[in-house]
Amino acid sequence: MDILTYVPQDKKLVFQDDGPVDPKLKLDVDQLNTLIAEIIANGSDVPPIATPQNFNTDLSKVVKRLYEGGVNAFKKEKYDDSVKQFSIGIEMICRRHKFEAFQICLQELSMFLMSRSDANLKTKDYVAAFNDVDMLISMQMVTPDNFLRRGVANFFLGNYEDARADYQRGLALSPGNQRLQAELEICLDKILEENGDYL
Amino acid sequence: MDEENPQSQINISVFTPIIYLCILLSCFIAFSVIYRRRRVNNLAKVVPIFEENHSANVYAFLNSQYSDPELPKDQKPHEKVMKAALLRRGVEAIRRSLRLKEAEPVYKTLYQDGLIGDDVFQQFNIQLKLQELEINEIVQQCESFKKNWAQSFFKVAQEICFNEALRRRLYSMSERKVDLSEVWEYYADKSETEVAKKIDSIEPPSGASGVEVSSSKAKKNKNKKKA
Repeated sequence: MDILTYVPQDKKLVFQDDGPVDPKLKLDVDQLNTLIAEIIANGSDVPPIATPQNFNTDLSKVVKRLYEGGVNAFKKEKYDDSVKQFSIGIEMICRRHKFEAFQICLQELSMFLMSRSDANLKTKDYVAAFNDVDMLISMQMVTPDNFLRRGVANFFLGNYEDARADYQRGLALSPGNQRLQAELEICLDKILEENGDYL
Repeated sequence: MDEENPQSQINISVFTPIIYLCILLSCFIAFSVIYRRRRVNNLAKVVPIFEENHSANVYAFLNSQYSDPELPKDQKPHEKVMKAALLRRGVEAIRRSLRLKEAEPVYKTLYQDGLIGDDVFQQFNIQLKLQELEINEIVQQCESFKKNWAQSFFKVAQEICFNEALRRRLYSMSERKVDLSEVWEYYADKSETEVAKKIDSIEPPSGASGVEVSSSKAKKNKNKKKA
């Protein structure tokens, strides 16, 4: 730990020289500095246990406003603006104190990711759309709509087999979903076409 | 009777049993020392499952400054800095404990099936014990800062652990996007030309959730089929 120095004025740790540093150590020090700032800003002796009551409602209002702004931009077909608004909202969620309730953060974040994924699909940024919805699914937001989103992103990225798997997984959750069925039909046709085959 | 079984008397020195006991004890001590040394050497040879614990190292570094009597008070780390560092150490301990808990049934099944050897299973068990020791030490440190803080400490540390994991995942998304683009040979400049043209010919999505894409395309497809 010779490369680290504690700066009493700033109450944080810094690296002594600008030389190469282990990225994991750097990440650890960054996370610690952020936590120090949050604990000092919180004011209490020790960080309180996370409850819905001590969740930062002021920030929630800002986040909600950003979400509404993004949705309005989407409705006005300003999809790039919509993506920006949702991205700022996600950034705001990341600035919450780390000791705030994780479950509530997750709910907020899932709302933003779903909407940003839709906006990314509209701007034809399919990789970004895939990224967003893939994260949603990995966060256990396993819904037919999310599989449909990922399927559409995969389809336009040319990953037809993955798209088919997504549609089928969506249909496993909601067998009567007409949109998924229609998408799957198109995807299967495309796979046949790719293989030089037809029905 | 006395003549048939003559009893001979042997004179034994008082020191004999004492010498005997000394030899016995020194043998035991020698055995114990050698056995322990070997065990410690064997344990030292075991490769840890996890990488270096930076959080614990950083805490130890700050703690050495915090408890240094020669250092002036204004140069010492603030108490909240120490608490934050301890929380980060607790977060790392929770993360590692969760990983070990996840891996425990896998290790047990593999060991029972004879698919991993004693050394690997021992390595896992040692890591479990080390983790327990780490948590006990954290609890002790916790109590030294504030009495009964240990009761709420791990709940707070768990929230921090989950929130940090979520943030790490979110921040890695931009890098992941580049990686995915490379994997799928999908470049942003290409999307503007070739892929965009291809997509335009298919018809772009028109719904908020990409859902209406399906209906419009499905209709188009059906029309094509009819034609």
